[in-house]
Amino acid sequence: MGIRIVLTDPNPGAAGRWPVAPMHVQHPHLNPSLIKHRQAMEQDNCKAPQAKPDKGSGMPRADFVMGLILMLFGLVAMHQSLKIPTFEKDWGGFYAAPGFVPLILGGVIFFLALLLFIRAFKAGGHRLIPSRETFRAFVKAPTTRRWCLVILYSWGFFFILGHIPFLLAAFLVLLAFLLTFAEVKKLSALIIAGAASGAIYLVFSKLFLVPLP
Amino acid sequence: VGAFELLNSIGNLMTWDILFSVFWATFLGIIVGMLPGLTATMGIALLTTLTFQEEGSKAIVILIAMYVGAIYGGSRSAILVNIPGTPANAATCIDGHPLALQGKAGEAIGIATTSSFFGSTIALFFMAFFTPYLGQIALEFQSFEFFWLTLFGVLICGNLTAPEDPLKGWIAGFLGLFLAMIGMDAIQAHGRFTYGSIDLSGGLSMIPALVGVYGMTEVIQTSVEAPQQAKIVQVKRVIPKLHDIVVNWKNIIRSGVTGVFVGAIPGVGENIASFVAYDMAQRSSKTPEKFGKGSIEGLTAAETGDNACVGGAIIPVLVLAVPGSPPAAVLLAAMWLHDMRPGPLLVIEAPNFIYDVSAMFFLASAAMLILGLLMVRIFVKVLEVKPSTLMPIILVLCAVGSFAIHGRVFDIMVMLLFGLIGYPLRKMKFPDAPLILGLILGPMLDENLRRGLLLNQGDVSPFITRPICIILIVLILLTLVNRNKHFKRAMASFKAMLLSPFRRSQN
Repeated sequence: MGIRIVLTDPNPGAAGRWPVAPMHVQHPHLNPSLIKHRQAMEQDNCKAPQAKPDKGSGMPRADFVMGLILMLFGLVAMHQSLKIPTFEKDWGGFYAAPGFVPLILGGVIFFLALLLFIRAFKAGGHRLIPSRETFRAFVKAPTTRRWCLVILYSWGFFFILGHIPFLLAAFLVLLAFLLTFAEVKKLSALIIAGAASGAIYLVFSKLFLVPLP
Repeated sequence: VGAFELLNSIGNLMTWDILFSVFWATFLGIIVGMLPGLTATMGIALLTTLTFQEEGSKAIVILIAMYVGAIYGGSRSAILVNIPGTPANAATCIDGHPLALQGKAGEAIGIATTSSFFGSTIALFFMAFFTPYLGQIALEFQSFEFFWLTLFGVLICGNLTAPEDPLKGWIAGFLGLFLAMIGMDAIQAHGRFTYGSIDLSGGLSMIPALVGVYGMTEVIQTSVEAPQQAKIVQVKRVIPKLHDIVVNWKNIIRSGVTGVFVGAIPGVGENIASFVAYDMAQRSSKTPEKFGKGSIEGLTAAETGDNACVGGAIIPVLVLAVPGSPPAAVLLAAMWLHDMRPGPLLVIEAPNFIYDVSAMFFLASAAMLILGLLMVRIFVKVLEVKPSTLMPIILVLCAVGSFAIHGRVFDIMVMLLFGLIGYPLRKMKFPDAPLILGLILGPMLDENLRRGLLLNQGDVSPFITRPICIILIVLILLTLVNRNKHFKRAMASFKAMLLSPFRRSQN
């Protein structure tokens, strides 16, 4: 039996946020962490401020950090572009240099990031250091744990490819994902992982003649 | 003119092999479109990698069928579970689901299916009969015009895909342009930002990057955020009433033409086309109060607009090699992969290619109509598949697809890296489309700017004096300032000043 959801708003588009409709989720047998995670997400959706057009995206701290990172990226890009040989003698001027366009693009990225940074600064994004509670809540948040696990599984899959047969690697990553994120029983996860990895192997290596990693 | 060529191309494609391919790819496209989290762009990107062993025209017909099917398929989930299967169908939810709640799910699906087909037909008309003329105009484009066109494409795409915050759209676009600089440059064949890596000297492969941005990011997002599965409204009969179609003919034509024009704007996809068409339908409706409560007019406009946009987005691919939407960007990359060279010279080198692609689009649209009206229960069953079960399979497919083209493990890493970057960018409201458009257009911008300067010994005057360049520069400036409050105020007072003599005479 899956999750039963009762839709209460027939016109969510009018709410301005898409596709979040107010929903009440009944969860007869799900694991408690998933239920907590969903409740937290629903609350977040309710509390999230409506973005105002042309006033930035309403996330000054993230914009402040991103502005800094992108400014640094732009500077490094410009520096590295200047290190590329210019071939001026053979090709006329600096405008022909392979680093000419990357230099301009690095400069534009720096300038746009500076605008983002200034805007975020004015909106209070420089007050970066979170309270201990906020930090603890972030670390303990189900989404953080789930994000770490997705990255671990997907990059783990990448690193084991080539070291063990593809079929086994695909089976393992499918099983790990299904057991962690999907609302299925262990036996079902085993069956789905086995069937899906086998089908992918057969269809692509035998039918489409695609080389597998 | 052109009708004979189009019929000839359709006739050439009428083989069992091609027809079978069109039907299975459209079927798969509808399923991809229906499943929330799987988008048309992701579907085409994955299928590009899996069909690159096929003969070129067969591979392209499969991809076009996937594109048409996916954009249509999203309407099913929009109507039945109130979740747009692809971003293109967000406007469909507004009236489609209220209709379903009123017990008219079948009627809504029927209207969506026929509207999608009419939208495709209008787009086909423009593709087949206007594209050759646009191709003649495109022949006037030289390096100078192409430079401004690529810049305009990235900026307008950034502007329209991030309406709340265009700055982030522009940053995403310029990041894409910069990432496209990695690898060997087109003029001196000098490796840029390769740091001795043989893999990097070939540049970042387009398809793995696209698969990463659209596929891997979705895998991460769905796994992390665990979206709820909604209740599915049941449906029986989907044949629409003829009356609903006939009374909407003006709406269909207006929405179709709107969809085509929005589609032709670089990088601006079906999601925007459907909302623009919906908005226009509401403004010109005699019963605007019904919009949002289950209006047939609203549903018709949204679905006609997004499917017409598919054809519209392919037009600039053919004549300028500039994609009109993210899925069209993948289609362009696929054409390059199969040694097809769309662009201004297409009307000279392979004039029939325009009609061939139009014929492929027609077959895909016909398959969409047939499958959409006949296969109802199977598609409803598909909606019961949980995204959390599907996502690991998508991850494995992303890895297989990225590896398939060049047989390099490095491409899987590129895919994973783009997914890793794509998720936080998406959460911070940096749109995907300009990033991808930048990646596609980067080499064109680089090559044309430097070539233009080389040909004129560094003289920039042709860049700012040629007529098309001037038009493009004005468009770029308008794109940059049109949201600025000082500009808006100045334009308002200018408009008031212009209209003031007429107002006095009225008084």
